[in-house]
Amino acid sequence: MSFPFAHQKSGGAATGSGTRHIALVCAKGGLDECYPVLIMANAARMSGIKVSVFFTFWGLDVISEGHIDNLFVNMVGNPSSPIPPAIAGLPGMETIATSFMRSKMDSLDIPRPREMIEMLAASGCELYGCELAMKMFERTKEDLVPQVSEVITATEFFEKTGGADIVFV
Amino acid sequence: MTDEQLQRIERKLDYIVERQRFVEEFIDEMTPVGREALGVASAWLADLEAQGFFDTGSDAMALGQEVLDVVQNADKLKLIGPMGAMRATSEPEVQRGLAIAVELLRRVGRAQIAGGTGTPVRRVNPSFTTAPAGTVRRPAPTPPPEPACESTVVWEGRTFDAQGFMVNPGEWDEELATKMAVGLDLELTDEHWGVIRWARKDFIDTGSSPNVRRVAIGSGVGVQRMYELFHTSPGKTTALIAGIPKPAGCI
Repeated sequence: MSFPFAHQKSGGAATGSGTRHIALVCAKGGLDECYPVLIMANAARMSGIKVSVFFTFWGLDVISEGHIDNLFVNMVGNPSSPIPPAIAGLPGMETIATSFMRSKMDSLDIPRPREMIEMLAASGCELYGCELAMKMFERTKEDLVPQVSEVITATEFFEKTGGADIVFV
Repeated sequence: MTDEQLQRIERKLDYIVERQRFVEEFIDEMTPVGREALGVASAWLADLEAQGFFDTGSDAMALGQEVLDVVQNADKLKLIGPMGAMRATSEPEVQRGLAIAVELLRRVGRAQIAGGTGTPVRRVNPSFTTAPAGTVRRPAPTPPPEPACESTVVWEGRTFDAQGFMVNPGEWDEELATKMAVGLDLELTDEHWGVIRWARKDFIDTGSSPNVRRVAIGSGVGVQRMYELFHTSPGKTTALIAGIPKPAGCI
């Protein structure tokens, strides 16, 4: 009798066999705001689900050279923040909050955004930049990290992800 | 002002002064008497106390007496506004009194809750003799049903759980791994073996299964190669073939 758990049949391309496809849209550029997209994309890939990620608006910072290593956490206006807004807005609080978050991530061995993007690309995620947002922020493909597949419009993104579950984060 | 008016005022003033003198004389006379009476009374009470008259329930009586005292002389008390309240709560005696009052409230509340079935019944109007429609005493929730035992599969003399992970990692050997790989349509090359052995060693060293990233970096192949070697879900597949539990975590 052959191994009875052959539902794990591998044989598809690195982008993942099977019909499930998830499209994630990342529109925020905060350190705390970009992680949900990156971690969910990675978890989906680890489960063998095909993943396409669309970075738009402030999410462009997550895939731009010069910004990807300098993402910040801002507690002002966040109702879940433990710091009251009056204090969270003081000069220097952003830096303090960011360094707290970074050290917490490092202690949990969660990779920084750059390494997450590298992992996503290595595992076969498709990473796209939003053309409109690129025009707004006056960036070109050279300003983006090399793992980005291409810069497309929202319409093209929907064409590529026909039948996929779209998750907006 | 006319003469008449002045005279009238003068008469009134005289009258007031006269009354004041009377009051002062009265106080002067009564002070020693009062002092003596107080002395005698307190001596007598002390005597009684020494004889044990006030011992029985003395604490409760004293407390009750205090309460009565306060209530009877309530109109003599100075009114307290917010600032006065702040000042009052800084006194240790007031703080003690507050602590007692709060503890009383707490116990009353607790007793009231415990008197029901554990969920507080909302009394809309205590004068109702029957509970108004809508306040239903909820029965205690039934505990959730126990999950059924996970089905295990026996293959090649070893037990596997429902997802294919070995129940006892110690029963693994490389021959079994090869057979598993055949079932998964994987041909194990040296690279595969390097990863599988590293993952197994890491599980034995740390006690927990490594995730994809850890295996990729630890065995030196890199995440991309992992996905190329093991196709879908390399972390899970590696754990399957290496006979170690499913890796936990999102990274």
